Amino acid sequence: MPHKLLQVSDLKVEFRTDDGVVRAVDGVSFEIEPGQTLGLVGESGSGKSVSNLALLGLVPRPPGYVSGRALFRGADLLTMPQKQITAIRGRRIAMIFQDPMTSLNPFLTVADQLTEVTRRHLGHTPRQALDHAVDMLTRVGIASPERRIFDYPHQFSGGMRQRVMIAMALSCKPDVLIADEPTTALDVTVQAQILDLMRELQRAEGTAIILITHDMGVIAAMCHRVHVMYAGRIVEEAPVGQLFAVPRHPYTLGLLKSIPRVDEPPGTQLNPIAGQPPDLAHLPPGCAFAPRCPYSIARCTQEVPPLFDAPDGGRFACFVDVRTTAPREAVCE
Amino acid sequence: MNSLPHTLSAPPRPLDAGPVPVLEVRDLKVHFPFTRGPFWNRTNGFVRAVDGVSFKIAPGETLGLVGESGCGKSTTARAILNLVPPTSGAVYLQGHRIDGLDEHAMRPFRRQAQMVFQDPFASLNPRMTVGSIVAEPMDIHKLHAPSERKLEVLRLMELVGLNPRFLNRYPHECSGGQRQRIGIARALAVRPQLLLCDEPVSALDVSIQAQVINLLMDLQQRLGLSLLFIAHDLAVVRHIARRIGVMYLGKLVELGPAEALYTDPRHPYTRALLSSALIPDPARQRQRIALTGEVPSPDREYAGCRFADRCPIADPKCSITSPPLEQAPPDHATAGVSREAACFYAWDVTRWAEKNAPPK
Ligand SMILES: Nc1ncnc2c1ncn2[C@@H]1O[C@H](COP(=O)(O)OP(=O)(O)OP(=O)(O)O)[C@@H](O)[C@H]1O
Ligand SMILES: Nc1ncnc2c1ncn2[C@@H]1O[C@H](COP(=O)(O)OP(=O)(O)OP(=O)(O)O)[C@@H](O)[C@H]1O
Ligand SMILES: [Mg+2]
Ligand SMILES: [Mg+2]
Repeated sequence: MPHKLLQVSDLKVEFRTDDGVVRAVDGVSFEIEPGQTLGLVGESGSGKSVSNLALLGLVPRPPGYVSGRALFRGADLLTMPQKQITAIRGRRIAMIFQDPMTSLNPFLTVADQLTEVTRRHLGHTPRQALDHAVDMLTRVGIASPERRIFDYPHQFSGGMRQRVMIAMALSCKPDVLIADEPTTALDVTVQAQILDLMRELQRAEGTAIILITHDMGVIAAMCHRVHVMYAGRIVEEAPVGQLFAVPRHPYTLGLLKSIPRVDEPPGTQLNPIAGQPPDLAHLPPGCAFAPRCPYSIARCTQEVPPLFDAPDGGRFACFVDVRTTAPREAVCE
Repeated sequence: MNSLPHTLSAPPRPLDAGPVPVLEVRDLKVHFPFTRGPFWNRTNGFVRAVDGVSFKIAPGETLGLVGESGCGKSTTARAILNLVPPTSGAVYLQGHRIDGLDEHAMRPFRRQAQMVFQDPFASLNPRMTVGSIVAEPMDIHKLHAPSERKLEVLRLMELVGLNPRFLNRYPHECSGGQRQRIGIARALAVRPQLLLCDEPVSALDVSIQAQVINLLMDLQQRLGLSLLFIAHDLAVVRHIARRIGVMYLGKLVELGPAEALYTDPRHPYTRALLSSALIPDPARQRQRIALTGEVPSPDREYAGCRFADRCPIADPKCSITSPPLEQAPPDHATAGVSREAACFYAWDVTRWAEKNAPPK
């Protein structure tokens, strides 16, 4: 049997800090096939970035400790030698990082950074690499790319830096593209252009895309399946249509209710999920969402709910059926 | 234009102009010089990042600012606070002219107006803990006794949804959204009257985003806080801002009440922008007006409208003369609130239909 493109099982990432062990990722499993787009949403701080950084060997160690398995075409990314993973990173699996300013080198021009990837991975000559880089900048919608490419990152706007990251990640036509909040700094017209570019790459090369985003509009437009994370775990996974139509985990439900809606009068109070985000170094026993959950029952505070299969093809980690249970009033304020 | 020394007096105002605006920006320009790269002769040019922007913000008001990536929104905000020197134009904070002031003279104004930066990580000192980052502005402006200081820091952290355990963490130990909230808590620490928010919620999940937006609206109601709110999420901007400005390549192309602008956009760029907004529902997607044509460059000087090359309703006139930002004719003005657009055909209702442009 041929190997799966990417198969992650029981991925864990801990940070050992003075304040205790922060369980940033706590047993995440998923797989992705060529041509698929997997959406990853979830609470800020729930481990979306860290779980994907771990796949590429980019979690600093110490304080970070990674365990589990991540098979890329059958080879475990988590245990392979440094040399092998550096050859895969940027070439076979590329990542658009969430924070452009920390991943771009402030002392090198955009040209230096964009050409480096293709010279290293594709063996381009300097001239070829520069032409290719200018072409990539054009495709991500940077004006006057022939001149702009010699600018330093600080001379670019937030969204332009983000597009440099995107150009860099797409340069080598990777098999897996991990896009961590790729369009947060882009207006919707440029965002549409970038999403088109990603779809085009996917169609031509069969690229698998892991798309991390808070933007439910982007999720709705791009993804086949969606994973929802809370406190280091996947609490729900479902085909995109189902997630929006019949969310089954109370956290997903709360998330969808917090979106400002265009048919709501402006200036009205929005409905965030009550309570404070969990402390990953001191999680309660049982379900991490229970203290904030309007559906919780006694069992939720004792046992961690496993992922149950939903009849319609999704999975969710909750003991309660939210479709037939009435929520309590806000639990805490 | 920016001739120093200038007087620190209020701009001349007509008697019936209402309360002094918290912020007034007049014909602001920020041009960055550049030298050409290795393949060209070394001739100089300018990136016209901000090229003549004027607006006012009343006490307790929120002005939303949206526009294409790279159109000069952040530079406008930075220039208002003198973080980049304006090339020309004037900035008045509560009637005092502040552009071109040196750091010492700026000090009192820094407490009145605070900024939440777009790039949270780059704006946080990596060697300071979260607690000291939030406390630093209080110390600079000598706001709290040491005994109250820590309580105040914890209170701010709770307001923005940061667990108290983050007090002794460093920025690199925080996620993207956690860093963004540190920036917001820090900006609120000195209780400013004006907050310039540059993409303050872009890295937050929708629940924490809702919490932060509620917080800002609440502060506004209780303390009369004024906001300049820069964001790409059109639903968020509409929710928080009564008035919205739309920027395109260094200029404001439309300015008006949020409702009117969203339901009946008048500048062709505003139309294209609104049509591209994604709907958070896979079952409902809309027809978008795709922008074609070459991306216009702030390196260039434009005689006419900067949007003309990509505009579905442009005619030759548009590439020759630049349309000014003009008041709507009386029949288009919304009850007492001014509406402005910078397009020769903004109020020509039949033109969109004639040009067979796609419906909004
Ligand atoms: N070096 C570190 N030491 C301790 N804790 C860390 C460290 N790096 C990350 N964390 C914690 O790990 C958790 C997961 O972080 P991660 O960046 O994956 O969140 P995220 O889901 O991407 O959030 P966001 O949506 O805000 O970007 C966070 O709560 C963060 O505070
Ligand atoms: N220090 C600088 N030197 C040269 N050019 C600059 C500098 N800062 C900004 N620019 C340029 O000015 C223009 C406007 O940038 P600005 O950051 O204001 O855009 P923005 O509207 O905030 O965009 P985004 O939505 O992408 O953040 C861009 O072309 C940018 O490259
Ligand atoms: Mg993240
Ligand atoms: Mg910006």
